[in-house]
Amino acid sequence: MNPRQISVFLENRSGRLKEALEPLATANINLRAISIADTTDFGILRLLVDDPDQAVQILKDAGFTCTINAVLAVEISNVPGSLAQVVSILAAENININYLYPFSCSSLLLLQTCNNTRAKQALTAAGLTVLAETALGKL
Amino acid sequence: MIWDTNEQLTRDQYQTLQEQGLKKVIRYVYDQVPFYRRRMQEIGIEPEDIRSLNDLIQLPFTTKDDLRHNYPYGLFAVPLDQILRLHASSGTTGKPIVVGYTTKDMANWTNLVARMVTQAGVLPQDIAQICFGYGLFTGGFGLHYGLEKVGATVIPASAGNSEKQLMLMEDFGTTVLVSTPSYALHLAEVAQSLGLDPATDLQVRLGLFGGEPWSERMRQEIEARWGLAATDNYGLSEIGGPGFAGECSARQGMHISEDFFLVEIVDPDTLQPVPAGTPGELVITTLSREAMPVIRYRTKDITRLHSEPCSCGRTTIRMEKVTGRTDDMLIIRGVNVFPSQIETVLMETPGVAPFYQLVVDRQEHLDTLEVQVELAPDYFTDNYAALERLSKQIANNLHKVLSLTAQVKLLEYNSIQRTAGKAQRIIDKRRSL
Repeated sequence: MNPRQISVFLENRSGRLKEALEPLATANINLRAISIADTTDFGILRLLVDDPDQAVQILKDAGFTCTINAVLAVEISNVPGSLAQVVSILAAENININYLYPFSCSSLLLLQTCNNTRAKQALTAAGLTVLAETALGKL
Repeated sequence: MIWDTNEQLTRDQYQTLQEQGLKKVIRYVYDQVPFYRRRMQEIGIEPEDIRSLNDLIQLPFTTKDDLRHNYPYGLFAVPLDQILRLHASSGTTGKPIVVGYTTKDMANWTNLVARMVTQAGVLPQDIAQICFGYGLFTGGFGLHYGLEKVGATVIPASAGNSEKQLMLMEDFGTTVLVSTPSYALHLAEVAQSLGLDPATDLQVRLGLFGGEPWSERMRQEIEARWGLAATDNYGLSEIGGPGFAGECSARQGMHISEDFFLVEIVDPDTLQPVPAGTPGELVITTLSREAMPVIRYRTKDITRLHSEPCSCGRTTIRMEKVTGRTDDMLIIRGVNVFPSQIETVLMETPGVAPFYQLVVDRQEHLDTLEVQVELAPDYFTDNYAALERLSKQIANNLHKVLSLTAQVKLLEYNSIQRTAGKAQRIIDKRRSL
């Protein structure tokens, strides 16, 4: 199974991110990766945690609108050009990347594309390692 | 079922009744209420000059300010010892408006509400939960006495404490819900958060909603969430509270009790009568009130009248759902905007919850309209572009309806304050400039 990511709809007002993160901290949930995209009015907070189901429940109980969806976790080398390589593989296959962000250790890249299944095949065929959710826990 | 034989008179009979009623009430206020006498004398009209319904337009209008300036008892036509009950409007600005009832007024009121709830479909075997505040507001007590009159079992739950309301509904087997439409939606949400599906877990089959304007789309939303038939009713404290008009099962407008009230529709700017069937401001003259008759009261509510016979068998004139209030009407960059128009657009857009707020401001001498609306939780996916498309789509639809560019702001679900009373939907920051 691909790693599951939590997406949280956040209004762009001060203190709202804190209100989302505090209950997770209280429940001792470790954030493995985090990304925030924003416009002037709202943002989407994306999180990778060890137990997404529990985290989603906590966020919903705290009144947040959130959802779970899958991302790809691709291992890349920490050398110049490695991100360019991933991107060009997908470009060659005409697969759009919706967004990407790094995992907490920098040699892992999280990305979501318009077609995760085909993206995974293309990346694996090019010799890259695409990790399952269970593999992230060991990192 | 029809409560009263007076709901099925011929148009001619109503006209005769109203003509007699008008002459009588004009003589009555001239003799009993110095305010009306002075007003008539100022323009040189004596009660004898009012000979037919056509003479009504010679009489001056009465406004909310007139009622306010005569606080508390200035417009009463009887001495206080004949007053059995006092109610008052919420009075968000300054002093409230006070209304009094004599023993006969109370009996008439009860009967009018009995008509109205029967029209809506309430039966003696119903269990009706009233979620209007019991207090100075006419809604709670008004519905209470009328529902008792038709023999329904009344639960005087009053406003607030939604979880308890739902507990009562579940345990007592409530079949009729009486509330504001926005509170009905709020209750449905609270129910869902408690794991209760109002449509299947509760027995509420009929809703009587009033107290604030609401759109046809909001009706559909309430009906879908509750699995009930939602009916509209209309009344205002100034003319005695609920019981003025209500919908029947045909849903072709709200039947007005014409034997008690004389209605007109006028152009809110020129104050001249509009041609039959044209929308305009509703003006009401009470024909039978003893304690506090009101002559040509300007309701500020915009509606339209229909006089053709209704399939339910009643012959009284009907008013359409109120589409807005002249004082709710926002003028934004010279364009007239009714909040109900915006509500309809929002309700027609999948992806947003039926909770919204309108913020009007002025930036660099230009009016701005921001429509804040909650994102429906089910609609949220990880897709950023979808959210932007949603706000753009709302803005486009608003532009089509209003010819005005509005900023659309998507809010988190539940971030707009829920209320048991009338929803506060407009924040006009220009007023403080």
